[in-house]
Amino acid sequence: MANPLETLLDQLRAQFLDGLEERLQRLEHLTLGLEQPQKHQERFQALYREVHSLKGLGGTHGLPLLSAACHALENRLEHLADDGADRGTIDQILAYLDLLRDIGRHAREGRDDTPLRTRLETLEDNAPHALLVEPSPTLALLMEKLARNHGLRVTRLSDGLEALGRLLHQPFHLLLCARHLGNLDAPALLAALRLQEGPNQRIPTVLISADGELEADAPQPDRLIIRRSDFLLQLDQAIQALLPAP
Amino acid sequence: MPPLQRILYVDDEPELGAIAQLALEQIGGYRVTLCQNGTEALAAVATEQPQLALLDVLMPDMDGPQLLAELRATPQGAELPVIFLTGRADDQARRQYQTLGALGTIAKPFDPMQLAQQVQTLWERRGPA
Repeated sequence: MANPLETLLDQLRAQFLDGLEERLQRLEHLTLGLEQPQKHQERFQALYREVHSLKGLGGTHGLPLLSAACHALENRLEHLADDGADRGTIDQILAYLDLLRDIGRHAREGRDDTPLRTRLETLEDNAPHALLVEPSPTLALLMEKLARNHGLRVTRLSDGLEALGRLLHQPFHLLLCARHLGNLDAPALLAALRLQEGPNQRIPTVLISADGELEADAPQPDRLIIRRSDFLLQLDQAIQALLPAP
Repeated sequence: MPPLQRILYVDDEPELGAIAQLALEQIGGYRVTLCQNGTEALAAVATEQPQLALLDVLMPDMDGPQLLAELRATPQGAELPVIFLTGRADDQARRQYQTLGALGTIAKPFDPMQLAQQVQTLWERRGPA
């Protein structure tokens, strides 16, 4: 015979699953509101708290996949900056919410959730991936935050030669690179990259320089940003322009 | 050390509060007062005189550590043992909450079948009052 507490907990779990759709609709509403800069912080914090609560409830109700999907979404949200999120980021958040909806449906119907696990892994892998090569830790941190605000996954390196090694083997969607790097400067890195038939031969590239234009015969990046006081704004616009379509 | 009987549970998520209350009352035999925010909790401490408070860390308006600071400024809450519940219960967070004066930290999501035992263990660890 079932333990009376377990019976009560099962009832609460069923109630939770019944009310999940209402929660997800609230989350969708908050997500769509992120596109507007007004009250962005309030909406973002409300969204983060709701996802965090859902994660806790999922775990407590014995729904580890729901909890894991919320955790992944929470991580994505943590990288959103203070300004409104762009359309690509919002679409990614909505994709997570669709997944949560399906996880709830499968749990209600007692169905195997293996395909949904795969979907979660795909969703985590699907974010476009940027390689950021910047020797200054402070600037790298600022630039990474900016890139993540566009929904990018970011790998950070500080050395030009190490970056070339990575670029020759691993596909990326965007290269953000300082001009002066240890062991191999950005123009040489770009020249080597464009010559090789590797996965990143034509990768969109943003080069950040304190020195102005590159040599005329050097391979040119898609965007050259001069490191002035507004360079983060310029970088923001360059990422937006060069991002692959969702 | 007096046996633990009265617990205050503060969490902005009412469903989670209901589960915790059920688990703590049914398994631990404690009497649980539920609050959804810091303001309610500060009032309940005065009227219910709990022996222990379980505080969620991430709450709107007044989070768990802020609530602890407010409690410490009241006569009834000045020495009230507090346990934090948090989704980020890594070593660094645990040390931070210990420094703030918490008796312990319980990771969220918690297992309802284990919660009462976790609370009792931390309660017994505090030594004689």
